[in-house]
Amino acid sequence: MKLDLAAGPDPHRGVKVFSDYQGEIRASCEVLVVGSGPGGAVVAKELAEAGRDVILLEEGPPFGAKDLRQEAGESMARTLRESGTRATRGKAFLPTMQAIALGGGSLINSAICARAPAFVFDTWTARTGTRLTRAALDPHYQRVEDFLFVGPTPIEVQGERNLRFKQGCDALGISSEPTWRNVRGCKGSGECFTGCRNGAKQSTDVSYVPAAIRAGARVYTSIRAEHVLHQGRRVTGMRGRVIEPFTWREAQPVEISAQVVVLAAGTMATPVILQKSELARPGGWVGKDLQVHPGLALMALYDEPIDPWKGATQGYHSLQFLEEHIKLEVLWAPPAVLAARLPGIGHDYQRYLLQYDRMAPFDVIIAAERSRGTVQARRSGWDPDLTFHFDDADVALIQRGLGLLSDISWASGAVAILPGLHGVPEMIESKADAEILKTRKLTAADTISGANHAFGATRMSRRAEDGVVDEEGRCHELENLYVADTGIFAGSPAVNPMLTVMALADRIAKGIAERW
Amino acid sequence: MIILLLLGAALAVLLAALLVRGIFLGYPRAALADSTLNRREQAIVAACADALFPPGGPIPVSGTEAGMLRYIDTYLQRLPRVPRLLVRLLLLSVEHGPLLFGPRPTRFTHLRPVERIAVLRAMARSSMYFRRVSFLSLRTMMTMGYLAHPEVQRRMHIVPNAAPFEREYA
Repeated sequence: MKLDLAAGPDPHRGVKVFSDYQGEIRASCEVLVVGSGPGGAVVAKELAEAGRDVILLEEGPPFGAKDLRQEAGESMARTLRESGTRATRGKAFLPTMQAIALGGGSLINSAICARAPAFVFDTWTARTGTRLTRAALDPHYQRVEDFLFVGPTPIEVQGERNLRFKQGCDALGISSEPTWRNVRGCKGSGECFTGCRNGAKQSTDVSYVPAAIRAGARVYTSIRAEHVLHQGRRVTGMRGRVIEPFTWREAQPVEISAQVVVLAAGTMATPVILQKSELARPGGWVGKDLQVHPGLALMALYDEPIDPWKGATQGYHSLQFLEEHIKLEVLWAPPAVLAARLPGIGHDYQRYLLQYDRMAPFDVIIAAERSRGTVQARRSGWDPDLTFHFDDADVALIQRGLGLLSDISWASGAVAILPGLHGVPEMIESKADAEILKTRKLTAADTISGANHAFGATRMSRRAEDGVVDEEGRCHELENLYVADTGIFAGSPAVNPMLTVMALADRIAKGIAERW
Repeated sequence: MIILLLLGAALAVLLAALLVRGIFLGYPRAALADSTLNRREQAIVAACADALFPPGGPIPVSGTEAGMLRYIDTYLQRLPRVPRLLVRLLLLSVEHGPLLFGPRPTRFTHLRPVERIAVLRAMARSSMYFRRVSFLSLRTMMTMGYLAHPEVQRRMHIVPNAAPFEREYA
């Protein structure tokens, strides 16, 4: 199956795809990297450029512009694991996502690039003894930002939805700023979630992966890494299987021997590989300490068209409350996904849908420091069993964020807000009435929260008994097994995690190049 | 005495048959051939679609007119095994929910349209979290199907970004 790729120079030239494979696959390399998302792609490129013989594995296929679909259901079925139906269990179900595509999550995220503030690393130090600092990571942040053309979202592509958020923040004296993103030539088509058909987003499949190939790396897609092979404290490679795109049927076996293995399959997949390989178990932290950024949105309704489908997906945000663990943002997704939470049934619902062009969704994400979850391999299959216990104190925190969003909405000229909460009026038509959002005690089950940033399930620590990997990303119990995805975070990065995991991956790659 | 017993047994069989038919049988012929949805599921999907998006509304395209059956059938085909099973259970729970929660003890597809809307509204506002989550799941799937229809998009003024490479901003 050869997928159509974007017009112009083929960014996926040299990438092996499903139809290239015949019979059992055996290969060897110096460094095997599992996962082509923000962590793995950086490691592959940096080590290939350092002269290492690198193989990069990815379970999903490559997507060119013509392979991307705008319709929400079809898009999610093609680009997301479990067709986008994944959720954590607990007091409430929190929908969460993991991409299955060359480029991983960078293909379908909003391209937000934010450096974690310094206090984040102090928190990590207090928690697991790591000595990582923001200053130490800054050169790596810089390298990634330079490579990905990271810059602020220009005013020309903001669209009314983003500008209303800015207007509301300005009116209240809340600081806000254009999001910094890894894009080039964004046209503000609001399609980040279903993949950028403009080719503007510098997802790793069109940035780091091609660079890795240019430096000599071999990139194999549609291969699922399953078991890490090992002898004593040394890993020797990986066993896996070819997976047919979109049907996800298992095909021929794969075995790759390597001197170093880097797992970057994501915080919801790397623990499963480790658990099924019966590795890194002594500390007991594999799959534990899962954290997410719970997110909650409201709809602001205006008396004039906003056309929310126009403009950068998430072009503005406020970082003013980060130290309180709150981040405020503009939100966008395929129209149907957000419309499903509008109130009303039957003709009432249709009337709300007809007002959709006058709505703007704003959301709050929080660093849920008191909430924790787990990633556990199931007896059969490779999809994880996820739990997340949304602590009452964190629910109160997200409620505070919702109250701030309400204030911003009114200050931006909204005539009503649709909070989408159980036990609260479906539509609130005055700021005074909206006080209920601040005064009513909400439970996790009253909210429709999502969990789109996940991390921590293979956390880094100074001592082996406190985590899975050390500050260099190397497993405490194994000499040559590394992890380079958000699982290694020792806590919330306070902001969107992509840039931080890329900076950490850049640092890990340097360490591997020096050591091996 | 024997006649009375026989009559009683016959009545019990008749009632059981009616109960079985009322719960499991008596669905109309499948509208879609070669579908993943069986005949019963197709009837449930159609009933839900037109309860969520009834005909004659402010958007003059009903759920079934928007092609909901085909959409949900395709959606189901694409789902992995476990989520597919959960969607099927969801449809069954909607169908037989009225036996437990009203408005009268029959299946959803036997209710009048206005009663179906009342059932869905009760799910949306239920004090039981699982009922609310079930409703949200159902509505998310069906809203994706409804908004996939070009006429619905046109009525909502959603402008498809058909030529992304040529889009310009002032």
